Amino acid sequence: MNRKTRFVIVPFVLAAISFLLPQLALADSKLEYWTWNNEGDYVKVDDSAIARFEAANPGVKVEVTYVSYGDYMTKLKAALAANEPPDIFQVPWNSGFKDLAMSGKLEPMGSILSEGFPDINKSALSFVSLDGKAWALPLDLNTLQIAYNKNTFEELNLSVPKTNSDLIATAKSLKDADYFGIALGTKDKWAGGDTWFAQLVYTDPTGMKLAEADSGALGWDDKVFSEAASQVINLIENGVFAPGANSMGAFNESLDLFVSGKAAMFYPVGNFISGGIDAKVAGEFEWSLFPFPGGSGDEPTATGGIARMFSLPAGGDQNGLAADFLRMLTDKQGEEVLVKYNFIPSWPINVPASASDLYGNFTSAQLNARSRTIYTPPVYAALLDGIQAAFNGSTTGEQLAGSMDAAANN
Amino acid sequence: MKKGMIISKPDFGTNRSSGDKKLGGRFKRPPKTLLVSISLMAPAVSIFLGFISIPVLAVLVTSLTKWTGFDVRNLDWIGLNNYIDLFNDKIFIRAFSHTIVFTLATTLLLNAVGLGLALLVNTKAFGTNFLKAVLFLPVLLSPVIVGLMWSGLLRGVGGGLNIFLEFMNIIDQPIFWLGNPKYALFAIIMATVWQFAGYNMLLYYAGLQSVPNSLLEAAELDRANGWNKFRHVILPALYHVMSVVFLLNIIGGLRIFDIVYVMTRGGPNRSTEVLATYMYEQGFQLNAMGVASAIAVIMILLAVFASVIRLRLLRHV
Amino acid sequence: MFNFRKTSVNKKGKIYDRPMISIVAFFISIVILTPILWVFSLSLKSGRETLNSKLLPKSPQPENYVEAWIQYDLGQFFFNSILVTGLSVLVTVFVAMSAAYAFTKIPFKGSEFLFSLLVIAIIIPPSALVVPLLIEMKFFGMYNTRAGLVVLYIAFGLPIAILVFRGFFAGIPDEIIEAARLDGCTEYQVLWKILAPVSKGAIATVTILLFLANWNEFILALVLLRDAENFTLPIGINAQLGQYTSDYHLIAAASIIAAVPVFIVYLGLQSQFERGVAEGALKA
Repeated sequence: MNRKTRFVIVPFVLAAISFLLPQLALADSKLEYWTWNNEGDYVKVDDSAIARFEAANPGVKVEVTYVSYGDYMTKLKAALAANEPPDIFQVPWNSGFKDLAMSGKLEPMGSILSEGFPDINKSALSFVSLDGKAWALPLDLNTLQIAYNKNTFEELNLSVPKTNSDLIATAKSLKDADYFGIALGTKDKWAGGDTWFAQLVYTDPTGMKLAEADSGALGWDDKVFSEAASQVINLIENGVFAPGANSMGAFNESLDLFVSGKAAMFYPVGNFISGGIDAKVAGEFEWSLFPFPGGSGDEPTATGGIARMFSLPAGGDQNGLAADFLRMLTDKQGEEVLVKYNFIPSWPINVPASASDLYGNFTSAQLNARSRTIYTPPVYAALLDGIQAAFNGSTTGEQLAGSMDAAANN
Repeated sequence: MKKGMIISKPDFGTNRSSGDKKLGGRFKRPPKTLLVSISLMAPAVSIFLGFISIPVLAVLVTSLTKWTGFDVRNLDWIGLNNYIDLFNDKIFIRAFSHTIVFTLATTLLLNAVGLGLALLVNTKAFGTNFLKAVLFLPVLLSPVIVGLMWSGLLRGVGGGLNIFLEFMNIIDQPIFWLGNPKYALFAIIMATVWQFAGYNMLLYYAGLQSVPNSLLEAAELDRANGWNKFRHVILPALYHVMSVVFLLNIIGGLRIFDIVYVMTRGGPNRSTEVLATYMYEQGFQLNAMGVASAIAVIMILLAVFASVIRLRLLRHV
Repeated sequence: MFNFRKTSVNKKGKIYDRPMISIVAFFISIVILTPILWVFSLSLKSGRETLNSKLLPKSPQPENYVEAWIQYDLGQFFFNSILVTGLSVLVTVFVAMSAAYAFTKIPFKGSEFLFSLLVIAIIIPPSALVVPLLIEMKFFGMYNTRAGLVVLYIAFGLPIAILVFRGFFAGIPDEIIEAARLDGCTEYQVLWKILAPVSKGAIATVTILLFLANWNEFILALVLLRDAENFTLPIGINAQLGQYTSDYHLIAAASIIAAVPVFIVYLGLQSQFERGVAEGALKA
């Protein structure tokens, strides 16, 4: 090592070591908050709650950490396994929630939610409850519907489709005019799965069989499940969806098709993304929503569920403060902020007269929205793979339901 | 015994015969030298034991359990069941074969392309210096951005490649490269070759600098044709580099993750699933850490196997 | 086949020397460059323009780079990446040189076995060991620390580094070392005073290989680093990907910024590296 290299290396090493040494904790206490919603109007909701919380609790800072959706579970799992969970964390609505709730790493929320929180809807509460305990605070609800480009529909004299055959006819007219039908991205597999949930609304009018099959009381090869898959395949074969679904992300690429006007419809859309779509459309066209249609004679019904939910670490020493923060999201002012940005609180509210049309649409769709969750991870995975296969034209409804059944029995 | 003394004895003389040096050779050493040798190896060996061996053993152990991965106290012993299930799991079998295909294809393509480019650059003709700099640029980018970039270029509607092919009248309908099981793995292989061809080129180019010009000129005098020159002069000189390059490419191929994850998430319908993405899904999305560990063990065994094959094949080149 | 004859004669080629080769080189350059130019062009587009597929931005916005730097807090990630990569490469080189020297020049009974054990670790994918490593790091109090990441990068970098150094040292005649020993040098002095100065090529080779690998490493950093203040560039940038929409123009700008240090390291070590490989740094 000559003098010149030493001159570079030695200070670097000294500086580096000084930074690697454990840093002393700051005097101010902080509340760590993890979420994957780093965009759209959720950020505004969070910011408002944080500002109010910090004003009410001088000396406590809320530190938000965004983790991208694809990596969120990995990161949360690592933190939980290392026993260093954040003070408040968003938890996913999908099939991973059951394992999370049963991991012993989450604080039961029952006693917390009984103090200073609004009366959460029963359905929402049951969604986050396992073994008779609630494991998360469901903050708001969403509905999944099809967005459509009003201008294009008007231009071609199209009306909102009420049945699947309407939808097929609509897609055909669009295609003749050189537009795509529904932009749907199934590379992020979950979005494809939602087409199946949307059809299950109609093939199982009782609405009970999903939960029954998930609990093992019913086989996944039941006719309502294969029929829902057949309906999806029928729509695919009739060119309802924009081509190349499997190559597009649930939002990024497929949303581009809609926003650029190339596709006249887009699925799935809920209040979680309406702000994002508005920002991207930037007033170039008008858009609205309708529920995914079904067979003739069926009342169009949306699917939905919990949008965002939050958990606290088991025995976390900041759980008192964390609960206070959650109260900022759910109290009267919190509610106003949610409504202002078109989110539907998971408790009964009075919709203000000033609310937008979109908001009216969301809340009415929410009234009878149907579940879109399978809690058994391998079954859910089989469904999502099956939908991708459907988009490649390589499966039938029976095969798809059969593979779900096989996954459940494995 | 006398031999060792030559080393340990302080030497004040300046007259050393070459014979003395030979005697001081590599074998008998006094204990002190042994200690020095061990102390020099100690840091490397202890890091290896601590952070490679122990985790490998831990993965072996957890591969025999059913475990969600949240808490180490909740391990259920299930023996070899994870392995048995995996070999009955169609998705795993596909992931396994895709990994092999990917590794073989990228290793062969990268070496062929890398060596070809190295020979091209080594002509040192006008423009090749620029090419050399350009070739290394993709290597510098993180696989995540490379994946995003190719996803953009391979988009069905508005993707650069389709626009180009339509412009050239090669296709009239857009091809959904990443949405079609027939093309998706191929597209990922191509993106990988694009990214790392420069890496191989650089290693081979550097290796070519050790080919003495006298050898090339001698071959020239023998009127050897291009192929013979390549076969008998250049290839033997590159043998050592090639051995390492193959090793790097093989292990890179077997562990491929980022670019697949970003470009296709293993889809459509598992047509690009590889071992690492499937392991990730099992461990972190399906909370089947035991299964993920079993896949990890299989990946390690596969890598050991591949490196043994490599040694066998390249030993006698 | 290419013409090898003029290999050494023409240091700087002229375009009319061998026009065919120049044309081929030019075309390959274009093929390689196009996707990169696409990213570069993307990094200069406005948010709305990222949707259209036109190659060139309407009016280039170099301020995207500033915006990405500030909005994504790239400074912190940049600092962390330099710290973690720099330190891990440095320590790996020192530790690997020591070990390789012992393995080649002071072998003992069983050292060959130890060597093959160490080197087999080259093939072990870090992603396969993520969970045990996480638990181990937690045990040592190094979960969510940059130091923990440094340790792991050293562990996974050592095998290849030892392999390269051993190959290189094997080509250095024993006579040089014996002469130094007879001059009264200790083994440490032989290594650092005699061998190190002639091993620049090998050092450059190892540095480039490891710098690239560690700078872009993703999965270990993702799992081990918990807080944003410790994030390295790859996960810091990845954290900006949105679930619904992403500011691709800013992400492109950030990625280009992130590639600059590796490029500098490569440029700085390029000639040493080429010499090193030529001298046998890659003899395994």
